[in-house]
Amino acid sequence: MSHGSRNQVPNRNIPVTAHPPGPLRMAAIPAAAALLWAHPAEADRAADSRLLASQCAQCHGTNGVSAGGIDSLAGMEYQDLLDKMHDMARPGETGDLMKHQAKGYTTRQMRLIAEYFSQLPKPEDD
Amino acid sequence: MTHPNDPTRRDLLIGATAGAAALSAPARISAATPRHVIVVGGGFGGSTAAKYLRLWGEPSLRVTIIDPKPVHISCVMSNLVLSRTLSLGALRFPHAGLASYGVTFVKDTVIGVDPAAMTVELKSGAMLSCDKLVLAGGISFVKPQGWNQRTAPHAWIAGGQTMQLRNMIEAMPDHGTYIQTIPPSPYRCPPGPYERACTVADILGAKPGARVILLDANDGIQASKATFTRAFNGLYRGKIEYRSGAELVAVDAAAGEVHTSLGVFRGDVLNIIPPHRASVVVRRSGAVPKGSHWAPVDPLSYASTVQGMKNVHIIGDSQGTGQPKSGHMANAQAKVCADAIVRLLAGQRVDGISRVRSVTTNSACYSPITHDKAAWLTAAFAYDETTRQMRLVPASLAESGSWSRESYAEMFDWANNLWTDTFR
Repeated sequence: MSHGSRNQVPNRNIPVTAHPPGPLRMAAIPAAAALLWAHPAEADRAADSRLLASQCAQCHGTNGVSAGGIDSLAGMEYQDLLDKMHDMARPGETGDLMKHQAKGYTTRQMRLIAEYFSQLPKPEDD
Repeated sequence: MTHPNDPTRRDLLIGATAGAAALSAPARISAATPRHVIVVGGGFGGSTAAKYLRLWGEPSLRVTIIDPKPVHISCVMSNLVLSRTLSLGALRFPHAGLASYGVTFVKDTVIGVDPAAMTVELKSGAMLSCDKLVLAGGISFVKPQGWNQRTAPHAWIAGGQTMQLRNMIEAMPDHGTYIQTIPPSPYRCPPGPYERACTVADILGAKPGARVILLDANDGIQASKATFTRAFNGLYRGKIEYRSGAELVAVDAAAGEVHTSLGVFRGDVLNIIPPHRASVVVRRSGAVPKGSHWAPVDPLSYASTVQGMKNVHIIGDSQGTGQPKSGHMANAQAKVCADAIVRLLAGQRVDGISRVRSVTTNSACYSPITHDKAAWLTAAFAYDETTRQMRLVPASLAESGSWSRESYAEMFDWANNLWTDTFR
């Protein structure tokens, strides 16, 4: 099953690579995706995934690009990221900060988080 | 004609300010007046809100941070200044750091907020108007009887107080006693006071006979209980004396006395962390009801639930949702608030079922226990559709229970990422 192929990501057409690098690029993508999307349900989904994913940024960096030491999430494969979150959230998995933090999220929330990061480009130095 | 939303009046108000050039509206490219959000306070909450409003909002959205100081000094990691592991300079984050996102910084003090007119009055005499106001002022203290922060520093707002406490610790005599008080919950950074006691005890290890008396107004350790119980009873046995249920009554620094509900304690250095309440600007705005110390808000948007204040949002330590007060949490709340403001300015709802199920916040932090080992604590919060409050997801709450070199190294990566997501 090609779940990780991004074909299931409803808002995959966000033109993330069409913008110049830098903060304004990051500004342009999500705003356009969330608010100017033609189909309201898809706009909502994009905005919801952006909001959920932003809660990872305290440790993993703004838009999933780490400032160092902690993994970047931007550009990870959808299925890979979802599997990692699911694995950490298993009841028997303990002893590591993320294995507990991951238990705070529903499967739907994990899917939205994975959607968001899988659509972003991988950081250049990653 | 003088309605505050009238463009002419708005521009007059804004044009009357000092630094008007920086604030004046850009050339109109559409008929609509550019929306303006004012963020009061450039700490973890305010800076994150301003940055994410510019990242997520319409490109024309104007965002202004107002703060009396040009630089925020991070409380996060500031206990490491006491041990000279970090300099205070390493914790300085200029508000101008967000200029690259298009955030305007105004160095001034807010002396009044009019939630009906949506205007903010500044000490300089300027009056600014906005569509949404975000108050992120942090904490203020309820002064204990006889307390003076110069003689018994709190060092709970990082800066000069941190340096003063460091100097006092270093000047402490052998066999001296360091007394630290812990305010009743809720207070800023639940594990922080216990972390500080460990840090100070580690520093005092070099002084023969020196010890820490930790006077907690609460019934027991408020965060990372297993970790700190283990540290106090093992590693720092005889070095830290922990007393719960010690309510602070008065301070007499000249006599070196701390008066509590458990009696009088004498020490050479008094580190008094007084009871907290919402910041001055939040209280003056009217967002804190009589008899309360915090501002009630709707956690879907952090909009005030006080009547007539729906366009005023309160994030971080001053808000009263019951979530832990910390820089990491203020950052988390700021993103929910910024998302809500962007949607509200676009005429959208913030309480649709899909969004409601996407509102989360989280806490993750590291505490130094010794000069080379740290512990961690984490928790996730989700919006509860029944209570309409944020709820701790029980399975997510965990502490390391011990301390390690690995966690000590991770602590610096965590702090650096948190600072970068917030201030850069």
